[in-house]
Amino acid sequence: QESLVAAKQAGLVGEKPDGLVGFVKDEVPADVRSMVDRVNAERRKQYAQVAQSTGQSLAQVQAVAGDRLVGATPSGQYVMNAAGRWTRK
Amino acid sequence: IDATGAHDVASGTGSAKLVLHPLRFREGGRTPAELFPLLSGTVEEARGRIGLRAGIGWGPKASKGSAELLLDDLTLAGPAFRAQGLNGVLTASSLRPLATPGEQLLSAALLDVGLPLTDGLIRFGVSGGKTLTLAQASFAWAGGTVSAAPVTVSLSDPRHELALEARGLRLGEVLGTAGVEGLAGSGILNGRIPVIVAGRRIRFEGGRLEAEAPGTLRYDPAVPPDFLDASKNENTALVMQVLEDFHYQQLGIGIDGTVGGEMRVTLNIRGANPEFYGGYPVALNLNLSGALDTILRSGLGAYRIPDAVKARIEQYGKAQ
Amino acid sequence: CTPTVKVQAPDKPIEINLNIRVEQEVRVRIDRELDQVFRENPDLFGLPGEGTKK
Repeated sequence: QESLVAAKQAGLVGEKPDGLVGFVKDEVPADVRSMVDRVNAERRKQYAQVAQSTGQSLAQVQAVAGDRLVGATPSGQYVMNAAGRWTRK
Repeated sequence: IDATGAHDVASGTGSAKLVLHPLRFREGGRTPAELFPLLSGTVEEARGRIGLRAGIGWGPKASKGSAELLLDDLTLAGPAFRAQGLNGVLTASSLRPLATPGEQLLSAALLDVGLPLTDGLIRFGVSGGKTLTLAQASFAWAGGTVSAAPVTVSLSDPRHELALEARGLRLGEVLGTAGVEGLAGSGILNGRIPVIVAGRRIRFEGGRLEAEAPGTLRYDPAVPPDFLDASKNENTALVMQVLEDFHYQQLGIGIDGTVGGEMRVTLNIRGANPEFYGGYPVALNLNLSGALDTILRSGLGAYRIPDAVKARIEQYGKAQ
Repeated sequence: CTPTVKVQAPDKPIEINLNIRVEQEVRVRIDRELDQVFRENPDLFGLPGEGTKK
């Protein structure tokens, strides 16, 4: 089962400003696609809880998470920039 | 790029003509940094067309060179800015040192630097390779205009001083930029904001906007933000009450601080709230300090250009 | 002599001064909660074992 870290290292997926994982390449193996969908669904649940407990909007929580996750991405891997373009860190 | 040239071996002098035929940047196409590596990190994305015609010379008796740069509905975007609808034909009468034959005109439908400035008109000239004369740089914002007072700066000097003049700004729209829920106001602001640019650091020093006539200011949030928690300080409760429906005779806004760093905004108002002690006159001085613009930007999250501004951009484009 | 009319200005206005330090409170609170979420779900975020510190 493809892990998120491996998919990122393979340049197939990357972190986006909204705190979710996006597909860098158009063709991505089915197991990677289903893994990313599961990861994003679970992340949304976690972000909703954080929004609830801090009394802030979901969008703001996702923006902060995205800022942190894009920042934490090691160089060489892909991240989406504010203008919506995939760039290699 | 087509290049034609000649070289006189004896004198070691030569010249060449370069023509970069109008090149179109497309969605998802080549990025400016691929063409001009210098730009990576500042300009990440481009759309629209640029064209270049240049004559260069080398060797002892070389010509100073000349160039003509065409900008056709160009959009440039980088991490800190977005410029849309750039139009102009910029000519240089000399490349070494860089000089322009008098004033160059550049128009910009939108310059977004956190605030959406539209209908931009910039007139500038360069001489001696390092003296930049800014004759005009005016933009529309918040229903009025913001323009840089004419200035001449030496590009080699690391520190520049500019003055932003604001005319006819609608208080309601200015407050709207802060995106503070429950904050509204009416009235027209004029004023001046001195700006100091030192390297990448931009600082406002003694910026002041004043209302030109009496108006209203209302702050009535459904859920007051935590830093205005009335329980923490009884003055806060008083201010919240006064600002529920304040009719000001005078209103002044002070702006000081470093972009991306510590900022201070002061609000000085004189007037009354009809419901507060029967409209007894009140003088309120409010000082907001902190990493204000950073908070503003992160708070806005996905910053959206207001639709009214978008409509203006399209219409401005057609007027060219 | 002409009567001089002295308009009695209302006495001094009520002076209210308020200094507010706008902290990144909002961001600090979200960061603290996210630290915990990252720590408890490393593989959900593709992060090494312990959470990342900002």
